[in-house]
Amino acid sequence: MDDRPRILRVIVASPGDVEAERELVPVIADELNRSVAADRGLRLEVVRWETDSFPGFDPGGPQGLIDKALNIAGSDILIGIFWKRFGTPVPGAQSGTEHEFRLAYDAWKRQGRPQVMMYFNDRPYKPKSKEEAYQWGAVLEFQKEFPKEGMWWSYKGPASLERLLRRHLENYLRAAFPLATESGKPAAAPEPPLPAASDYFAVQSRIIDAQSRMFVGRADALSAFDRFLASHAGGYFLVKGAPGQGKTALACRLVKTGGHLHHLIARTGGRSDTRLILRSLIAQLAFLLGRSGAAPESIPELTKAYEELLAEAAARRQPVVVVIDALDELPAGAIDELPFLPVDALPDGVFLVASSRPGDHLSRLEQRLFATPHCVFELGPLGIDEIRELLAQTNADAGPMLVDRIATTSQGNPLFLLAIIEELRTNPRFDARELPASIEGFFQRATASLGAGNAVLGDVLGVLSASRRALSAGELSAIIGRPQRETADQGIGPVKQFLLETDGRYTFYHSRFHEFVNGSVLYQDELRHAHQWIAAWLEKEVAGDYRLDSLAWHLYEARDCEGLIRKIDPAFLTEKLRRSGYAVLEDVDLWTRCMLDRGDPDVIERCIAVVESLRREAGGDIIKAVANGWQPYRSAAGAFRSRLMEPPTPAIPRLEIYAGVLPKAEMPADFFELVPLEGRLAAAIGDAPAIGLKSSFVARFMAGLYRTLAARSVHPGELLQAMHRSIDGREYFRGVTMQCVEVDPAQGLVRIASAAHPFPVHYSARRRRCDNLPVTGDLLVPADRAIGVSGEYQEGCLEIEEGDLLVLVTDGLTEAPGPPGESFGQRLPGLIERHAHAGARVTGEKIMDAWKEQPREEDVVDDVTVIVISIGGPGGARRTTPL
Amino acid sequence: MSLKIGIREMGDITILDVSGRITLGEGAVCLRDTCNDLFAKDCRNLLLNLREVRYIDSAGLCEVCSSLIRASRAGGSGKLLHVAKRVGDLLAITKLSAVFQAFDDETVAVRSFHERLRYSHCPVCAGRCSPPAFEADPWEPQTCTSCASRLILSAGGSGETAPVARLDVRSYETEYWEVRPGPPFVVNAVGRLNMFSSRALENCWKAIPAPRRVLFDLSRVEEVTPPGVTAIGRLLGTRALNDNAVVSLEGLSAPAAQNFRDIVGAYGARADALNALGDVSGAPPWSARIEIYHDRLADRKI
Repeated sequence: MDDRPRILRVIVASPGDVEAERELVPVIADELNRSVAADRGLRLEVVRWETDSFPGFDPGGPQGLIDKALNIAGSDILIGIFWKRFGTPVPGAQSGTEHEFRLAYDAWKRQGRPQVMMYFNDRPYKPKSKEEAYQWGAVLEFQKEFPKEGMWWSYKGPASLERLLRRHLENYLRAAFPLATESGKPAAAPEPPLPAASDYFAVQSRIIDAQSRMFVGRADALSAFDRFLASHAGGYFLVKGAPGQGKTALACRLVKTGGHLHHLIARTGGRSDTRLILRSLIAQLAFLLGRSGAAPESIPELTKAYEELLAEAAARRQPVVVVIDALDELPAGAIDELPFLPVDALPDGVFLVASSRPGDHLSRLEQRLFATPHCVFELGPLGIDEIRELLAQTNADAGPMLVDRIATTSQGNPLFLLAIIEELRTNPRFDARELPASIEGFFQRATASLGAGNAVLGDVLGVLSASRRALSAGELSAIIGRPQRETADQGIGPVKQFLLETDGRYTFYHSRFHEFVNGSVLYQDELRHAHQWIAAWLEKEVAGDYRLDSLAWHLYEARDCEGLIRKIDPAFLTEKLRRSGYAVLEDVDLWTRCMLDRGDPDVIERCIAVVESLRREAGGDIIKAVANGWQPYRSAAGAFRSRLMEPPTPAIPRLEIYAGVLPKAEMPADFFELVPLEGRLAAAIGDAPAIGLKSSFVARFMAGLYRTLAARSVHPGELLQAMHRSIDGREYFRGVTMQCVEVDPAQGLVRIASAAHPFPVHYSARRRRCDNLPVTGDLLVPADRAIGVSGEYQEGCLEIEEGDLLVLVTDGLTEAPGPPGESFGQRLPGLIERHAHAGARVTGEKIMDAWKEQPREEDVVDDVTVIVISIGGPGGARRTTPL
Repeated sequence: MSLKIGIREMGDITILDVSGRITLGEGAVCLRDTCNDLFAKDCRNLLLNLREVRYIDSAGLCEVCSSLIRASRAGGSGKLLHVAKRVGDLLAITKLSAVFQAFDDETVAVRSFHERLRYSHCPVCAGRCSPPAFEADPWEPQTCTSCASRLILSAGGSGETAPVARLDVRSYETEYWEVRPGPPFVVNAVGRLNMFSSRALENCWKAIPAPRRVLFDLSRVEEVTPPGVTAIGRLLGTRALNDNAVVSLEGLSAPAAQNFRDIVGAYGARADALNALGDVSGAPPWSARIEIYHDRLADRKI
């Protein structure tokens, strides 16, 4: 069998004013050759006159030579790009590009190929000469006269074309070369790898059984869902509800009755990892489609496989419903990374049901869905009939009076009702007059023996709270070092009604109980001890997957960084990589954090060495995956240059703070830290040169070092001196720029020191204007050894008043090239002056929006970070009271 | 293609007309390859004309530096021409402007390969000022590449020093305080006198040679804040015994002048302030250090 890929020739036709766009085509083709095209046994070969023609003579002139080199009639795809120039006339056409288009169009009419994809840049443009006006007019004329069989596409600059072209080529390849068809025709390439069914699948189904058993009523929710299904071709049905309202029960009911694909996210039991969620869904889809095979490893690969299988399942059987329960259980860092909830790639016939408490996760998802059909259903309290039905269903002995009392007290909260039912069922002396005011009252009753010295219960709750999987009584007893009987009777017994038991293993039934335990029962040091016990148990007694999966995590949570560095050595990481694939990235992340926290600049080299050794083992993609895994603020998968990250900022009285980051690559080399200190803010912003793994490690190290040093001194000048002393002479830190700021709203004072960082901008509400503050200072480590640095950093002190703004930026923002003669830095003060009255957040967002919309001839090549600090909070400028 | 390079020769000097973007990857590689070819052909004196360079990132800057350093190590010299403001700022903040020569005039740049240049140094921060001057030529107005102070130098001096006719010290990005030599030295505060601009006050004071006889003239001050007054009061109160300084409030609005009522050494009339300054004849001459250019790149390790 011939394994060689089929070559698809891609011709690029354009005049010379879209050079940046032309350069994108081979880059995108290269990417697709490693993904969608490779899956189909295809290879895109980009042909351009500048790379494929050669000097010579031809009766048709230079264009004749180019035509021979391009062989447009024999090509598969022609990508045409126009902006403001139409090009130079050639025999028979007004420009070479038009001539090439005509050749492609004629060939398409004759033989159905090449696929002609025309793009027009519609960025505003003002001709500066008659010739330019003529050229532009010719482009518009050509666009107007475009053949009626065809459809062109508009774009707004290279970055926009990059996204469009990638998506269009992917769509074309998927449509023209499907992997497998319902008619059973052989695919052009081997099918994508698929995972085998996992144990998680079985555990999930048992949880669904347990949860859906308690489901009652909710007819309004079920009919709303049915209506949504019937009236849309696809989309999102979002279930929003307060804790304990029965979101999970509803989700389980849908799964149970509809046989839908699903994943129930939970912090306990280890069901909140993005990779695991994707694998679980892929396993179910594979089962549905009768596939088998190994799962891919990285999140981008998993996402791709998931989306392809989803599309295939939708093509075979509509509708396909995927139920994802409890988005709020996802870690805070994963807020922007929800590849299992596709938006742009949502195929027709696919419906996603996602449930969540109100909060950031749901808000962000709703923002993403602005152009996707969706419906938000608010899950309210159960009605009196539903309560009666629930009590009847569970044979709880309750008369009408008691039902009314229960309805009033529980306010229709299903979790509360379940606790009452359990009391009615198990406690014959239960007195309904003693109903607690909330579910926490039941929790307190169940854990009351803690106050009487039941240490075993405390230990069991601590371990269950810390554990990432369900544990048996035997395992619990081994971890806490108590006899099994004592563990079962004193530790599990009192709280059994709030535990979920599957296969003899226990975990918390509901996140509300988990929160109660963490918030009201355990102290932080007790939780750390629980992690320490589990880590010790994993080292001694468990050699299986849990040790590999979670030893590093428990050591980290136990704050045992030295232990983690010692035990999670390269041999451990390699073993985990072999057995658990990219799950090793979590360990790399934690190990790196511990190393960077040491504050020793030499660790950068060790961090890079560890990742490089894994790369040798796993291949190059792990670098990218490491980046996605451990950066402090994450971008969504594939969110390159398309999504702004707005990390959370600390709350400080009389200050409003906004931080926005647009990373150029997966790993930002910009860094910042915001440290709240007794009513003041210590802030730092900086930039490590270049991009890539090394720069990103350097950036993280600098941020960590600053945070450590800021705990000792907040004076910006002293901090920079201390940082200089820590890293001086280290090659890795050459060219790092940094600025430190201390903002004291009570004193009305800002102190600033700079190590060669771009000037901060101060907006004075009183003067209604901005100043670039010329605070200068040496680099922390000079760019060249010939340059001496003093290591002293002069502080600038600034008076601030209510309504003032301080804006800290990196050079990716100020130095971004704009129209000739203008950089974004020049526009910045005006922008701030226009929006300052609305406070930090609005001003920050306006800056980022303006930066993204700024016309520019080329894409930018640096990270962009903006921090806006408003004195007195939003709207402060309107107040006149002095500080 | 993100970078284009045209090559011209002028005697033993090779001029590279660079246009586009010098960035990580292709742009930087293109520059490196071109320079490698030139070095292989025994080109020793390199002048990089960056007039058409629209953007340069840190990797690109590194490549530019590397090219210049290699020219020097090969026994020649490497210099920059038409550095855009953004690139100039980048060179300044990384202090590379102290190592590399940059020119705005091609004739001067070409001449500098064969004639000795001299640089002045800033009286405030000792940083190198630009533009340099040939030994036979007079000084043009100078700007410190480090703290952005502006300097007017007079003819004369010893060769190692040049007399300072005026110094402008930056307070805000576009506001400067003027210092003129005496006797007595006069510091004209311009714009705002507040906590932030008080750094300029300290810098002016540092730049004036001791024993100081200084009149602070606030007639061009537009805004005064209490911390600004405190800063000037502190300076007057903590000066060395052999220094003397006074403040003239003449021209300042009455409410603003009110702020100085507790400051010893502040006078409503300029004449009163000058009288209070007393004998100013002992003021020393004021000069800036001059450095004859020595190519420090030749022994740089790349």
